[in-house]
Amino acid sequence: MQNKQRRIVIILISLLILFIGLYMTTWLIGIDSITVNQLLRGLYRRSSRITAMIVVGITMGLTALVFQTLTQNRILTPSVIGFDSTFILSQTLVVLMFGFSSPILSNAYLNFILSAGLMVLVSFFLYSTILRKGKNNIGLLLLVGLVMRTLMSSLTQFLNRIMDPDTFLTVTSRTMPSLTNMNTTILWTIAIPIMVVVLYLMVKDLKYLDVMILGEDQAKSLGVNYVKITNRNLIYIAILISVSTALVGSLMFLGLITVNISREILKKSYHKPLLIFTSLLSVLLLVAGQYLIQLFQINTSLVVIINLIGGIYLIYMLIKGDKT
Amino acid sequence: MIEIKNINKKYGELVVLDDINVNIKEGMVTALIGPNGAGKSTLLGVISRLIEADSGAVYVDEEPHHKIKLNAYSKMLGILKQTNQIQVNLTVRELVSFGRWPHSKGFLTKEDEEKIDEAIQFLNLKPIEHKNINHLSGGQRQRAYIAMVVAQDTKYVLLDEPLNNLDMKYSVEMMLILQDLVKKLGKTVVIVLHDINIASMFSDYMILMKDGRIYIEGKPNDIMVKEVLDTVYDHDFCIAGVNGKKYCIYYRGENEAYEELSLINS
Repeated sequence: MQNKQRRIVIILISLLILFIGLYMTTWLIGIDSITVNQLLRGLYRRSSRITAMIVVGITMGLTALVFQTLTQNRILTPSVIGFDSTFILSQTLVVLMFGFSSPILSNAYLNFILSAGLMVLVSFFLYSTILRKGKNNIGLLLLVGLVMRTLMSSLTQFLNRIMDPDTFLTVTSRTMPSLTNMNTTILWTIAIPIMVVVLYLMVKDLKYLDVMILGEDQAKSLGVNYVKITNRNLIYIAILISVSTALVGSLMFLGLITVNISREILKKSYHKPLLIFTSLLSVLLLVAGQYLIQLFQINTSLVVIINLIGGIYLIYMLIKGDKT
Repeated sequence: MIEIKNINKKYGELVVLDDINVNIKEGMVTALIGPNGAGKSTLLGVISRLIEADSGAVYVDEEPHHKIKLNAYSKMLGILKQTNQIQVNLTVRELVSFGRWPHSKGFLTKEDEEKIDEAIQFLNLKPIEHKNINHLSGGQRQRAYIAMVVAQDTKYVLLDEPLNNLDMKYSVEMMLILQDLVKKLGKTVVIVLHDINIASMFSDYMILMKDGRIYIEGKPNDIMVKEVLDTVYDHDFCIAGVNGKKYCIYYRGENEAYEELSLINS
């Protein structure tokens, strides 16, 4: 890493520590008296959110980075395959079929396992059928994923129209998980263990992905089992995005923004330094964004803001790409 | 030696390789030539295991190539396809170091660094080794990719149309480098070419393909025969010679123009 890049990393880490400190402490300002229990509870809640933001930030950055290498395309994120649409449709169907009071909805564990499991199953189904029939044609996978995504969104909209207003409200609240209203028990007991293990496995594969930037034929010629690494990482991505979406909702543009900014700063194609930059940027965006939303009491979720910025950034990239 | 036996390949109903039987001899530059769609690149793909044949077998140093482990094969045979237009942010040295992947698995040893240095020297890339490959000319970029294959240090080097987008000067320079690969480093080079004159001037052996079959193989002067080229390319050729090597003129115009050229060179 060059000096300039090292300086940027130090600035990012410093900003991150600053915002984590602010997020963890500023809520205490203005409180006259607080018991130890209340203090511990408040700190536990905030430290859980910070942990979630760190894991989710790294997940979004890494999955987008790897997905872009596998698809050889800088403006894609795994969400094009339709994880969020599957999640929203599954929640809508559950409410419609089993009602509000169904244990599938009221039992957080059951609901989490069902929605994350369904997303993993749908992506596995896509991978196994499309990749096998299309002889590992990633382009075909993206196209079918895009069609599936549109189909599921349309189906959800149709179901929303035919349901009564109360049911609609329940569905809306179920399909809008966020960093602030996530279930912390699920975070610690299911989500983090799964995500940490899969993240570790993905990081182990980064050295192969470095070679794969040269293209399929060249990577194969250099002894990389291209198809095996691709399929393995698509599965890792499916698991990570499913768990993350079921936990805090869809953050489809976060990875796109941070990976591309990292590429612009680093001017390198190696994955490890890109991952460090991307992760730091992602976590900083989440923590700082969450803190600022609370500070200025903005009445919207961070996900909406990130997706808005991400959408504009995507359009900018498309125009820039078109000009070049 | 690479022995190709009864190789067949179809894409749907289209026969791309039709019962190919040919041997690639060691220690020479072998040029695969033929019209578009003759099956040259597919044959190269089959030899390098990038494409699976429907039937037949390829033996590399008497071993069936599909039985050789992937990593071991990448230490025996390196191929450079026409993929070097991919936009990657790498310096020349970083690109060349990828050639050591089969040996180093991403952790370069002192020996790997020496091989990288040798490849960079061999291709005259020292002055630009720290330049981003996106900022290089077509010829320099092509040399950088060839250096990567040289660093791979394989006995067999396969190149699929490496002269694409190169002007005459760079094309000749590239062919001289490939001859040096054979003469100085003892490699066996197989190259797919479109320019039959370049193939005739710089290769030791030519394999001429047409419609997925080997039409003729032999030394360049045995291949550069008017009747052969006329039939394979379905075109009217005029054969001339320089310093004992034959070349062809394929300007399609009035017959007088051909006769005039023949007279000049006779």
